Amino acid sequence: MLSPLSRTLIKIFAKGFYRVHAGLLLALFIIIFIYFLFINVLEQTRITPEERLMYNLSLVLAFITNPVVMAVVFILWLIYTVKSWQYVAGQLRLADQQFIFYSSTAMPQVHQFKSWFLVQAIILLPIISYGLFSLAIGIMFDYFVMPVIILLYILLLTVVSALVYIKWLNKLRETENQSYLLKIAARWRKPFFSLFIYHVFAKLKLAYGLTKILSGIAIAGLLHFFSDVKQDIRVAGIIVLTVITAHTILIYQEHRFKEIYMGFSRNLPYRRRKLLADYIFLFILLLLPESIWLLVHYKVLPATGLFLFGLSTALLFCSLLYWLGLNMRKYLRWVGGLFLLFLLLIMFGCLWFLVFLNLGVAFLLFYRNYYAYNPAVDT
Amino acid sequence: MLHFAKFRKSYGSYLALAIEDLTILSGIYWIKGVNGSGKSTLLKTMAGILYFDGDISINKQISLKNQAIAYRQLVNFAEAEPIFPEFLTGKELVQVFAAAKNAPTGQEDYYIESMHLQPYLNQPVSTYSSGMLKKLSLVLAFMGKPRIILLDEPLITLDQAALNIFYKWIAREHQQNKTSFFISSHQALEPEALPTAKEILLQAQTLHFIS
Repeated sequence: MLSPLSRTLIKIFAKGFYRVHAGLLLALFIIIFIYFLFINVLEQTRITPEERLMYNLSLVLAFITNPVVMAVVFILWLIYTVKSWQYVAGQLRLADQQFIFYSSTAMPQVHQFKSWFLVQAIILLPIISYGLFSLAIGIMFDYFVMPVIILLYILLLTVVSALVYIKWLNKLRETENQSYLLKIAARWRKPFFSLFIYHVFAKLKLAYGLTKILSGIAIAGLLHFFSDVKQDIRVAGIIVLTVITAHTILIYQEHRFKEIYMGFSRNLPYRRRKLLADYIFLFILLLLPESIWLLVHYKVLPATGLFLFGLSTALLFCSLLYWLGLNMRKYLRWVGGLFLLFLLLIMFGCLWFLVFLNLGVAFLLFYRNYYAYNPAVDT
Repeated sequence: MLHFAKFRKSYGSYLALAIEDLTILSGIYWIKGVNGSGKSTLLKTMAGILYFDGDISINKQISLKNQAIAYRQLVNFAEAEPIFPEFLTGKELVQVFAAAKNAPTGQEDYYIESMHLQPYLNQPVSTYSSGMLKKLSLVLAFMGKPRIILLDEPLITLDQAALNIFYKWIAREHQQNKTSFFISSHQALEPEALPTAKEILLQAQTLHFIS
């Protein structure tokens, strides 16, 4: 029987974590599932079904036999765990979760530990499942040492996480130090359109960093994948589309920032065309590294066209949120669907047509929905 | 002055407020009502923040929906529990509102000085207490040349000294510029400070004038 504290913490943190990261985890799961069960190895006519199974299980076997592969997987698990810390820390900063600081901390720390251990174990379920799977494979193939190390490592991650959470909750809080950039920018005038950039440096440094890493991986990966046709404008279009899709979370966070911290802004007498122009400035700033890459890699005219395509797609993804509201699941579904649709349209040579289409739809969505803010309940 | 035409505000299938056809004359109004009666909803729709069916206009000329910008130049709003980007300083927020609401240069000085906000103005709002944040949000609501100021629970978290100053602001603004006020509050407004204030009761999903 779960304690009331465990039930509450699981509801807030574990379920919340999966709600936010469901899309990503599902995608990873599908990739791994497809790899293990359906991947076709080369010259499979020469191998027996048993051998094929062996090939398919080779990654798991490498994981439990090769220390280097295991180290890589361990680092990935550590990143996942740190990401979960970041999520929990973010939640603990929210006004709705402040009660945890003055309720749970009255309990003995052992009780607190049990609850947080459970929360973290649920958050680490994908890792635990994979660990147990490797353990089963290890037992089948008589490898025992590594699976035990794997289980101990997972236990360590869970225990350390629970202790970290308890430390955060029980220590007396100091005033947060301002980000270095914000200190430098203290004397700068901050125009309305730029406020999200400052918010990124105050609260979303990690999300920004991860987005840029993802964006870089997309560029390098796709260029490598299409190395034989990399000057084809369609390849460039696909790269730009992937880069903008990698920015989905930042775009969502921008909307969240507007709705939560700038709720007053709908009362400000700004024209919608000015607000759209603000978004263009914002995306020019956010996409500066990618724009430089475009200019270095392509001639001025195609680079400008590609940038306009990226900008129009970002504007469309941004305007979508004015229509859908802060519903992450719905939003990701739409972004995923549009990504596939645009991918096909680019393949069929409709890249430049998409620039106008995206701009037109973005403008319409924004114009029609900006003042139509109508949450299900008053926030 | 402020005209409601076929105004309806729903949350899903729940009708929160309905005002068929009503003109409210210029003045200071205390909006009363039990929890959940729709006080914040009314003020947020009047401020142009929440969507609603029908229309609200000033003098039947400046419509919230058709002259969105002109309307927002004339109607200011302060939230019950103000939330602002934590990294901004009080001064920067004043600048944002002053620029948006086209405030005369230095307009904020009177409000900042009288509410003794000066020492905190260059600090990020994340360091503000809830009372300080409330004071700042009230300063922002007076920026520009509003004809109507909507204040959602302005009295909560203010100390007595701040309350006296706040009442003076309202009286001054109403006297000098004929600005109307719609103030939602569970507490009664000071009758000595605002003797002309009238009462509106929010009940059964609509407005009722008491006095």
